Amino acid sequence: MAKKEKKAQVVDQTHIKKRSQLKSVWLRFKKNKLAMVGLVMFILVVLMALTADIFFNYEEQALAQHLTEKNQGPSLEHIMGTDQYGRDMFVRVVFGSRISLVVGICTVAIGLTIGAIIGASAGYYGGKIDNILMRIMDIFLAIPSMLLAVVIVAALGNGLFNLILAMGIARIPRFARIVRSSIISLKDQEFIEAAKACGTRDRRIILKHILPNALGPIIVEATLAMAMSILTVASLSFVGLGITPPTPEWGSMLSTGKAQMRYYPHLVIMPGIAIVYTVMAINLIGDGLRDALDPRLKN
Amino acid sequence: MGTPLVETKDLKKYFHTPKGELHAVDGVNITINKGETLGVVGESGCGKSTLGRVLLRLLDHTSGEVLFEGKNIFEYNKKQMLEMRKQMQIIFQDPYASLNPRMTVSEIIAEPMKVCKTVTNKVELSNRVSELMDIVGLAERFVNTYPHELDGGRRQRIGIARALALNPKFIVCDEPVSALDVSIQAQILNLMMDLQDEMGLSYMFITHDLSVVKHISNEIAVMYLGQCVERAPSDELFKNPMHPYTKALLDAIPVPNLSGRGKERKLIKGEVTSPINPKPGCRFAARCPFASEKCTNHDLKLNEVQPGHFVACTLFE
Repeated sequence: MAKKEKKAQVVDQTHIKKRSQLKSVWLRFKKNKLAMVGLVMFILVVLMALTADIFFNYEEQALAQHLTEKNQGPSLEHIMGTDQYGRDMFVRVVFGSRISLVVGICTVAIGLTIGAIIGASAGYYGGKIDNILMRIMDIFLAIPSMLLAVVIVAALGNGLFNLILAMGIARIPRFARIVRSSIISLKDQEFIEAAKACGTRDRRIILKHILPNALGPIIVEATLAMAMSILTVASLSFVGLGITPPTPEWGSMLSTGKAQMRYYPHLVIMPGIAIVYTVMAINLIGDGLRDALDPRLKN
Repeated sequence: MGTPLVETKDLKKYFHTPKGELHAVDGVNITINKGETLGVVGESGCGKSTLGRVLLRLLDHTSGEVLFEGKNIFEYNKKQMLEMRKQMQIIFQDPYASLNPRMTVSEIIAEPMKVCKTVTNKVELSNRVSELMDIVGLAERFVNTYPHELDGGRRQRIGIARALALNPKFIVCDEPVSALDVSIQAQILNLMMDLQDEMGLSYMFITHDLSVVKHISNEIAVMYLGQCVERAPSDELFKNPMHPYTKALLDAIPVPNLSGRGKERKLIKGEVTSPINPKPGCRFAARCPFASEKCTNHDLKLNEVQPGHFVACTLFE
């Protein structure tokens, strides 16, 4: 009984004091256990990527070949075993996280930002602008994203930056479509009209009133895209347009290990686990974020 | 009669449709006096809401003028219009759709003040929000709640608080009570009338509910298919309706009285004529029991039949 009263009091206090939007989103996010698990998993990967240099020597352990120790299974000395050149798999996975994370986050950032701007202007202004922008997006959509990335990398040259740019551009049309459709369904609502009635500028209407209400599908697409990007780098690396060996990268580790999968499965399993782990963390965060941002969902 | 605050002069709004021009508002002349309420009644699709939105420049007009304190607001540029918007606000019909579901009550009420930068200090802003919530009768504990957690009446109070945030002189009320149930309708109407007394607000009250409009208005304009067919002070209109359409409208109000049982009602026959490319003459002629050839010859103007009582009908020319 006493406990109940206390709880009621606490609720009352928080109500009277104005709470900022960010804080209430965080409070809702915190309640979601799975999302918190995802967040912790993701922070671990990021920490791993940032602190790799303290624990390991990049040149010595990730690149130098020790052919006498090649293709060893997991042991105490090499917890993930060694690859076909005798390099420690764990060290390579750790260093590989740098590229995979950067690629995953940056491609989505590029695709989402440009896609959202294009989709938002197309959806909000409609008419001619909509037609022109979306037909351009259709042209992009007609080209398989993999092929588009190949073309861009081939034209601009090999390299991490070009790779990210290429994959980011390939992601634009999908984001543009999703943002546009959400905006069209929202822009005729009365609360948008209310905002216009007090002279709100278009930019503020889109950023403050429309986009927050359209976040759900956008976040889902963003988390999926991040996972896809990590895998696309792997495919691009496989055809020689992505990260070139011996640079450790999860996708290229996976594809080089594929040849000997039957005899040394750990060559594929270890980078595979790393990819699954990161993608899962991102997806859990994405789901949690989507729910936390929507005050209508209660649990 | 008070001094006019808002006036429209031959205001027209046509929509382009594949079938032709849709005459949503067609040559409307109305006047709203300071501190008074003009009720606008008419059936669905007669252009009431469009009129309200054109008045606030939420929709572009086709021709005509809207004078606010004697100045034509259609001539204002963007910057002047922004100033203008502080003077006139709108309350919407649907309290579910008119509030952003992602914002808390306090954010919704603070938003107009942030946009127009009337209050920039954070502390002042939150004080002003609590003040407004107090004015419209919302308890302070709702500061951090979201609209979906509240009932229709409270949501409509948020809508009113938002409209009041900029201290406007004129508020367009677009059927503010028709989505609420009757007991809450009365609360909201009383609140709005109290606010009018305290702040000297002028309302344009759009509704299809005649009992509501009688309760709140000083003057009533009856609209039919984009045109104002009759305009008169509230009591006068209910006592002495002149236009056949107004008569039919008033006749449709149910009489809560046993003597009314079995009484035959004069109902309007036929359907509303299409507002797309209408023929000249009285729009109501096709359904009017008194229609003659005169009615379809020429466009009708509002005539002052009695002082303050205007009718657009050949019977009173």
